[in-house]
Amino acid sequence: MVQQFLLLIITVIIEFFILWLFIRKNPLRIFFYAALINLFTLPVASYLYQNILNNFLLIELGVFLIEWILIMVLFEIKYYRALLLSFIANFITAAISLLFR
Amino acid sequence: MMKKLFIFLGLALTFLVPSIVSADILEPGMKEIDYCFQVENIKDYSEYVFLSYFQEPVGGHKVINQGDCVSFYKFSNPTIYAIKKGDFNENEIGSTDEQEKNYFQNNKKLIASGLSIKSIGSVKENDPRQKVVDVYKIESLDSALLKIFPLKVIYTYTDGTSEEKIYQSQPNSTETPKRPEPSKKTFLPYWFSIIWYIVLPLIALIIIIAILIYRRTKK
Repeated sequence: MVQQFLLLIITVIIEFFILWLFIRKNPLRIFFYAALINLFTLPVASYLYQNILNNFLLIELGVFLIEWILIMVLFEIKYYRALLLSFIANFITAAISLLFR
Repeated sequence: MMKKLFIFLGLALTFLVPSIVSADILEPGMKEIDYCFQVENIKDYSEYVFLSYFQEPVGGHKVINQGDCVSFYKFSNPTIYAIKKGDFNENEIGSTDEQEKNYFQNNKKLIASGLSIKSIGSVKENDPRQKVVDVYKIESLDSALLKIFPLKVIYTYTDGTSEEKIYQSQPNSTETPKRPEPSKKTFLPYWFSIIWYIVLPLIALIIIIAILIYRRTKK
């Protein structure tokens, strides 16, 4: 339980910093959107991984695509910029989660 | 008078029926796991017929063949019997519960294992196990004694993976060993998994949609 919340908090903080590096305005709003995106994707992804599809790469790919769309619509940025942000954010969080597995 | 009788019967049913059937009703937050058992080396005892008698509360029996996975009502604790092929006639078991009970309790030609097999029953809904198969092995069989012991358990999980765990017991031990624990376990309490997997993502999604709708209407 605590582990799940810690994982969520760490992911939100990392993604916030990555998003904030590229979108240098209103950090509070960036944090709020990063939290919203991860509150949606992280539990769904962990459920899918544990119960339906035991494939880390495919799950991460799905998360990357969903976050790409969410970043694009929430931050109102171009699709290629959102694609890059989603890729970097998910690459780093996935690498960290693999390291601490 | 009749009206009072109906009221009495109605009240009796209201209080009695739930207690009778509640054992069969799945509690909220619980799920049933598929359970069955196999006997691995039946083929090595080709001169015998192996039977599983389900006893209380529903009765019933089954001839166990090599490769069969025998499932049963969760509150039955079946026992395995062996009988020489020449001594076995399925029609002798009878058609009623009483005849069947009498056959399994009093037939001197039956060789009882004394082993009582227990199902898993219901578990928490977020338990990762989907199917459990206990594999038994016949250690020895003669005209008086059937020695059978649990060899391994095969857990199949909801993600499609499965694993085998060996029972930690000596074949000669008289005690039924404890079923080995699965590697994958429920790691979240049920109430938390509901909040975590359903409530939080749903709230997040609703807020995201609300933000997008608000922006559209503002423009």
